[in-house]
Amino acid sequence: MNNSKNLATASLVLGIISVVCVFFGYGALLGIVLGIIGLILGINAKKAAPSGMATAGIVLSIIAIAVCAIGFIACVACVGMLAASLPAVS
Amino acid sequence: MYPLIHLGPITLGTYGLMICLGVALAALALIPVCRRLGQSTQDALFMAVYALVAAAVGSKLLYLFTVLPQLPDYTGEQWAGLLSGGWVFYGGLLGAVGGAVLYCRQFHLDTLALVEPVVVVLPLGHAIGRVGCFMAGCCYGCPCPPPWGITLRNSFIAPNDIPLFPVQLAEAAALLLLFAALVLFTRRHSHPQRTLGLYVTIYAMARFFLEMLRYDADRGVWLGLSTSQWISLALIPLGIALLCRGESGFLRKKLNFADWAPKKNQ
Repeated sequence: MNNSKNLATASLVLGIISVVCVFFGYGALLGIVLGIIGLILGINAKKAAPSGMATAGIVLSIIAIAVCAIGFIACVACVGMLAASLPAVS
Repeated sequence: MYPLIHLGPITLGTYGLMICLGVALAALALIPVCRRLGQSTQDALFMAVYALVAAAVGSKLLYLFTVLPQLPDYTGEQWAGLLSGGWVFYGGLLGAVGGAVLYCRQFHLDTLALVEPVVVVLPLGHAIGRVGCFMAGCCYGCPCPPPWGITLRNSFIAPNDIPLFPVQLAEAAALLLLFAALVLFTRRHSHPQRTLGLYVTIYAMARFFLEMLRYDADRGVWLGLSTSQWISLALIPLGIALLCRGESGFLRKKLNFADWAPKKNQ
């Protein structure tokens, strides 16, 4: 029971951190990784003992992964566009 | 076509947006499908999460395998590009199978029974993802005169100002048809092994032919066939075998972890 509570807390914390990561450009990649870890910890916590904190951790991690994925891909595309607009050096 | 969407000060990548939309819609569609097939929606969703994570790893690994000979010549920018782009669906599919088995083994569930509803909704999410490919301009088709060919103007990936066959949209249409076929197939009865067999057979056949219409270079070609075509050739007999074997057999028993207990160390 105590173990599942710890897992739920870890999931929630990782979910919050990964949501914050989206505001830091390439930090969104870290957000995706932390969100995935948070999601898996939340699932394990919820399977062991369902709790509100585990559900919150899962939901927050899913939102974080989605937002970070969209943000990160846009960020990489913007860098690509910037590189394409630079004059070619012969 | 529209790789980026600008909403005031915010810029969104359409590829990522469509993939997230596809996952969200597939997850929503999973709820009624699970109810009809008598499976736990929560377990199916959680298993899908494990499968998605493993799919991302498998997809990236297979892409790296296809570009292995070119990797030593990659520039820093190309290495950075590998972090976001470069995914191979078949690598994802193989990884997803591993993730699903891992989840069912961990929580003692019948893998094939739980995989069935996920397989039914998978083509829906995949179809929307393919629309994302079209928007971003990746996975593009061969040059083709209008009206079938579509000319791109601001793609970072596909060649601009040449009419290209929208093979991504053709695959999306094929996947939507496959989704409808799977929904109809599972409407009355649950038959996990046959559902999986039907999905594998039809998708592999469709992919084999659609690959012929593709024009993007980084796909690893051996003996005139791309990596995905070779995998399709291997999957077609496997899918037919699953369809013909019915609901009995080695695979069904081997992947049922409902009564499974881990071996304890003496």
